[in-house]
Amino acid sequence: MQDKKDIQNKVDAALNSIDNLQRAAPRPFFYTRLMTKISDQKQSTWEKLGSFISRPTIAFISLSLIILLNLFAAYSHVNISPSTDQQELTTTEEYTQVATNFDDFENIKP
Amino acid sequence: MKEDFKTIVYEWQDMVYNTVIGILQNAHDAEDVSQEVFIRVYESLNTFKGESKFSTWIYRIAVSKSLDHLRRKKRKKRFAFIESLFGKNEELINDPPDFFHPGVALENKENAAILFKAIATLPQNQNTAFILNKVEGLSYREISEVMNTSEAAVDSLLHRAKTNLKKILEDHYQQNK
Repeated sequence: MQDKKDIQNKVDAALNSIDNLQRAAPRPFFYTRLMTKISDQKQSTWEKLGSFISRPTIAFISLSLIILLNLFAAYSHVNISPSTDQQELTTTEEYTQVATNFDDFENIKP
Repeated sequence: MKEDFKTIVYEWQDMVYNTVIGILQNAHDAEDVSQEVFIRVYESLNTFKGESKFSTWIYRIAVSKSLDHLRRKKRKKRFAFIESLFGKNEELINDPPDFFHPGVALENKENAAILFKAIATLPQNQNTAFILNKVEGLSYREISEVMNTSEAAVDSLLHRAKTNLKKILEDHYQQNK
């Protein structure tokens, strides 16, 4: 019985131990340290970007993407090349015509 | 902007630090997390719409940053434990040392250390409500605004927190008779 009462007293004492708690304050010059941290973080934005890009996963994905795009571009070029030749021929003929016309125009005697 | 921010830091640094140290129970971590709180304030000061009170806004950031830190620490501890099982991390995982809040009166130091150890074992919501009420001295209404809940819910949280603390402390003193 006495034991139970003792324990109850101790529990109450523990629960009341922070009743008149004073507010804790950070160490002096907190603002100065904070501003240093903020400016450090600002400087390291590019560093963060650099380290993100140089991650093996990111680098591998980027490289694979570039290779795939190149392969795709090469494949589509092979597929459309005959029509391009035809187009080039037509364009050349048109230019020839124009050039001939210019020559004719210049050669016209008054 | 810089002068406004300086005023804010000087005005609110004690309140932020006291809240954070109450939740984290570690002076070094409390300094780091308090800085994180003010960095967040610095970054989003222009976007603060004033829908809630400024104090409520800062308390919310302080609480969420502290809880994030606790989660990170727990994850790290769990990972270190797994590594130690595979023999990669030989560091011993010890219980944290007793926490002595700098604002506790000298004669209550030992009792307060035991109480803080018990508080650390409470569920997250009960822990937060108890710290805001007992350590920061916020009213039920203010706590309800910070925790985005009703006053009745805060009342219930604090009641459950006290019941749980009594039980934990009784067990503690029973074992250490």
